[in-house]
Amino acid sequence: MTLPGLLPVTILLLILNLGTILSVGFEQILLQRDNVGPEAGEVLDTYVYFHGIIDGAWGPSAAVGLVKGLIGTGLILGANKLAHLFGQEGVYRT
Amino acid sequence: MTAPTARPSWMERPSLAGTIVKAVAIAVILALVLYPFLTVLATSLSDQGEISKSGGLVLWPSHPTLAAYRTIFAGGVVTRALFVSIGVTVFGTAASMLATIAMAYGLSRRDMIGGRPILLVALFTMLFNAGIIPNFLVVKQLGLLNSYASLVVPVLVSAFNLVVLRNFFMNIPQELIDSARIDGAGELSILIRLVLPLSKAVLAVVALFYAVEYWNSFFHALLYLSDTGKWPLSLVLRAYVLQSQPTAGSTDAMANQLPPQEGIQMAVVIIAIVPILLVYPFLQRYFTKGVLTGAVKG
Repeated sequence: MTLPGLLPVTILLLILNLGTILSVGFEQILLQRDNVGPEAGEVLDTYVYFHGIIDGAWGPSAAVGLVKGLIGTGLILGANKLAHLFGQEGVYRT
Repeated sequence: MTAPTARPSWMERPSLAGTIVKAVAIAVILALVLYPFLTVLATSLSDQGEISKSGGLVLWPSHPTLAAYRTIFAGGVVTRALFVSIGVTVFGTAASMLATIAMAYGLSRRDMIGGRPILLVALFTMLFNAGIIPNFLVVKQLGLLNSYASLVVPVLVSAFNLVVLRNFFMNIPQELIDSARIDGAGELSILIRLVLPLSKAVLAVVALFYAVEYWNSFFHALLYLSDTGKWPLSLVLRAYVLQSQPTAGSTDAMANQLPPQEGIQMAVVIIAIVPILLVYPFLQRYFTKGVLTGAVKG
């Protein structure tokens, strides 16, 4: 009975963490990117950092960040809906 | 682990094979966790000869030396970074707790005017994150660049911790609060003298979450602090690691005067890890009753 009891919290955390699924470990990648080169180690967050903050290309980088945020939001909303379809509580009810 | 007598009577005694499998599995996991840690610790205590002999990773230093630690503390950079990290952690955690407790308590009261929209605004930050650039621009416009406040203000209230705390407060029986009110207590003394003492466990957990977040704060410091004199430990550690990458194998001449690069790096790693490691075991017992009691009831 332990696992079924934990299910609501597990689903809650899963859904919330889905929102940051595109943040694939920014710090580790930033630290080790120099060893493999940008063409091998570039992810969305490092792209935004190097092109936006360092090189000053604010517009494109902000757009990249926005798209990332929107995808995260879409995943949260979708996963919440999915949880409701399976009869679970999910994060919230509307 | 447990003697057969400690087992509830309705449970079967574990079979010998099962016990062995469990012990091996736990030993493997333990080794996976401990091995890198031991290597870091041992390397930080080794001299150059030993590190180059074993190819950079030492498991057991045969002549332990504190030279690496003496060097980094004599340099002053690490010492200052350590104070910055401690200061940001202490003040940041205190400020975060104050703000989160006040907000969570207000939002936990059902008769709060405008509570719902405020809660939704906070929850929205869990749902949508505009990204690095807008955050940076906001901090810049607020004039917080290059100040310690930039490490605290943007992350002052975490929506997740807020919800955990609010749900815990909501589970405190209304009758208790009513009884305090009958005795003449105002909202503030209800919060301080009744609600907070009842919530010690969850407060400890939330404080730990905040403290670890502030201690490990790396990306915010990288973004907002261009003045190297204000860097916290995590950024100084990164600088140590980055600056010494190309020098592999070029230090034979002065091998025994200067502590090895790897040793210095690992010593900084140890200094960054140890405070968290010291705090965790003492707060961990609150974890079981702390977070989940607040989170289960949405």
